[in-house]
Amino acid sequence: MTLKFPRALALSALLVGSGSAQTVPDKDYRDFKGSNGKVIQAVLLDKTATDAVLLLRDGKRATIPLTRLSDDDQAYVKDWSKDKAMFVQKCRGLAIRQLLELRGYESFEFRLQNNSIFIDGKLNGKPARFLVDTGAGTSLLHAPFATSVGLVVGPMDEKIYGVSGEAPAGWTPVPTIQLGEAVFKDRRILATDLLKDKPPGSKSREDVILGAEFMNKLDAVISYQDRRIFLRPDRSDESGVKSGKGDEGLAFRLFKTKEGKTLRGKVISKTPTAATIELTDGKKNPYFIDSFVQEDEAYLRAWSEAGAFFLQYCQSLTINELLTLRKYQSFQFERRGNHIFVEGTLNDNKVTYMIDTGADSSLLHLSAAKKYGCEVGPMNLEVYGIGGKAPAGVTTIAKLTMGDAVLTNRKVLATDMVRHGEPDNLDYVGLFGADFMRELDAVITYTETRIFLIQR
Amino acid sequence: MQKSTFTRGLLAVLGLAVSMAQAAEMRTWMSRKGGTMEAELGSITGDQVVLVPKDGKEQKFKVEDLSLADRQYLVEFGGAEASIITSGAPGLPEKDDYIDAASIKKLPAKLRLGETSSMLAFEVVQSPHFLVASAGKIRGQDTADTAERLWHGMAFQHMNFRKDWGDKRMLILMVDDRKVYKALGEWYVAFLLKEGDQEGAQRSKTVWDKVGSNQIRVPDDTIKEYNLLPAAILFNITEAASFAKPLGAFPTHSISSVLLSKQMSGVSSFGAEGYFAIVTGHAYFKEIILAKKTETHLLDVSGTGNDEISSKAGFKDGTSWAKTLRPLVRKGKVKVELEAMLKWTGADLTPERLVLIYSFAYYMESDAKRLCAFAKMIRRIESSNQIPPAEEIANIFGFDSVAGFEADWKKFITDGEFK
Repeated sequence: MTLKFPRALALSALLVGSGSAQTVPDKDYRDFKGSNGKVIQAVLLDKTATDAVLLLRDGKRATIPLTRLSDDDQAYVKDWSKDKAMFVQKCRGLAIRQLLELRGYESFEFRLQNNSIFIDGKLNGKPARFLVDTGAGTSLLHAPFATSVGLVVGPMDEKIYGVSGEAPAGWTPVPTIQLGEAVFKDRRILATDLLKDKPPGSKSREDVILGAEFMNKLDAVISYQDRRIFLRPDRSDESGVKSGKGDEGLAFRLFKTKEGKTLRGKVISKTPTAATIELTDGKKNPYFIDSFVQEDEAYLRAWSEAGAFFLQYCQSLTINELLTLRKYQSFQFERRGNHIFVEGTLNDNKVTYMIDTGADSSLLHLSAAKKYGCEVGPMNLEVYGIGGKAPAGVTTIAKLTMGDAVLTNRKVLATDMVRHGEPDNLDYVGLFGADFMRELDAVITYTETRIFLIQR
Repeated sequence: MQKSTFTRGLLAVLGLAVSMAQAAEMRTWMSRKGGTMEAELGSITGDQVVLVPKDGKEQKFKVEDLSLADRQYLVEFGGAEASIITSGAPGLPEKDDYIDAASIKKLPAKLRLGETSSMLAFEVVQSPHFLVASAGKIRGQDTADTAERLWHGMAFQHMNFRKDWGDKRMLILMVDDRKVYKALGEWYVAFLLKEGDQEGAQRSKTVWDKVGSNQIRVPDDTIKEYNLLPAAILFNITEAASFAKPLGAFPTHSISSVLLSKQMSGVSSFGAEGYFAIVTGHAYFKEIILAKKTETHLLDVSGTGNDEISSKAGFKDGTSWAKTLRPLVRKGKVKVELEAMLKWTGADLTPERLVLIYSFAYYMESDAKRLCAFAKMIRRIESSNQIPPAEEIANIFGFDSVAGFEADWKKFITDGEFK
């Protein structure tokens, strides 16, 4: 039985023959009757004042004007609330990871050091520690590390800027950068000595600062609660992962074997020892479950037909829908260059913050802190960053909001974020850092250009 | 790493054969008795939760048998009512924990620090989350047992504790041989100097012989070899008795203090006010409630010259603290003031103050609802790197004002469960 519900609707003929092959409808489905009396089985996903969004048996969605539905169904839709829907209730337990891994994303569990996010990758084929930094417009290499993996750092005649000043940097040709399946080839990246202006005895936590340009490119999703970052390897320069058209083309998962091979496909059946995977080229092959790396082996062991059947529904949710179900609120963020900005308030004044996963602690621009009534203490502390240290003062924020999230009585540091000699015309008040984002279980998605927050 | 089956302490109400579709994440669930189970959340109805382990066979459990951390997860991800966290008594998961003797085992090789020829070679006992290395007559098994129990207590209460800990172990060094302890001190000072930490070296020199426990840095190669956390606990043992049984008073105090500090993660220099009261109170609370006595004296190293050392303790024995504090608070001789207390450090401690700090921890951690607020506060500190000011603490505990919080805390001391 193949049905093209939306098209049929366009022809204004509600279609399904009543002699439907599906004799026992799953309890999650409802028989929707068109105004012409024909029946279709679907799950109500969402509604507006005029339309109902239905999920059909084949996993596709259709938006249907309410007027095309029977009176009963119109009343059902009217009474229906997204929160209460059985289907939706089950999906809300879904982890972002499950959602994205079924769409061709590769996920990386990250380490938090203080509040900073680290993942492992390779630079020029050698293992390297990457700091995930949405506040870095472009990526940076730690120069001594770059040299140690055989790269040639060019003349240090470029300048890079940080909150505390500027530092010399040199263009460095990089044959390969690798993050899991994603590979970038023949890039030029600036290298600088990340320890140059740090206190003596400091050790570098990172070998590479992974900047926003790569995260943009790889449609990154960062979730503090899951402690994972998700990347789309098919967006990189070279990867075996090729997407098909649209979302359908990404409805596969990556499986890695212990021998280092990567398969792309979905599980269609399994026995206690073997799983049959339908690969993206349509071939169906059985594989021994224990031939996969630990994480994938665990996935295969946990896989069940019932579970997969169910995931198929949830899969069509966007991150936005999933997190809205979990009472997260979200904000479209604004991209300026590669940086991302969100509106909020500071002591009840409407302001803009830069979203910066690389800032362990949020930081205010000194003049903005004063302008918006924050109490700034003596400038007897220091903040370190690219270009050395700068004086900073403990600053009390009486109230900061972002949407419904309200943070009160917080201490942060304030420093002068404007470069020497330049006019103080910063159009944002400071960095909304990893401290607040962790507290609010932030999820940042470059695909949906949104940041999600929840106040616990 | 799992201690044994999950059903320990959990009443598997019914093994359901129904194949209910679910879509949640595999996670580690924990019971009051310390059993763990990898499972997905199936569903939650009222006070019952259905978990689906990897074999797909659903099991039903009572919500109240799950850890507070799991219940927090159910509220945040399973859409459960918040009341499931605060129902029932918090109990003493450290006492309820069932330690499987087989999970604590002696390693064949010794752990060595410094030159291979030196006397710094330790017998090693390994438990799921700790590596206990001992030199002298003392043995590590009981301390590993104690540490695991306290670890379980933290994982029971704090939602992120297990995740933050990861797959690493914490090193606990125990030395009851004077010569070894002295050699270890010399090695450690040299190590710190080599790492460029002059201040730490000086501090270590000053307190080395005077303290019973201390936190030290672990050298990188040892961290790598044993997959350790970077900070270790060092016990300088002069009286072995409390190390020769589970939950002895002094090790309970020291380890509790370190575990809570670890969970709070680095507290910034400008956000440390209140740190002393919270950590010290917690450690004494655990020591007294679990060991039923106090053995711990605080050593205050104040001034920059590090030459002023004084020892502080509460009124004699910890079990009488509540009895002594109650009339003092009633008569107004000791004021129950949160803001003032958060400012105290080891330097300005008096017995009255110490006991008030203890009552603060007791108040926060002895009732399910307040314990939940306490966990929330610790979670906030974990990311914000600062102890919230008094007003915020009052808010976290559900009071509009500091005065409201103080009144409730005072009532707890004078007329409540404080004993």
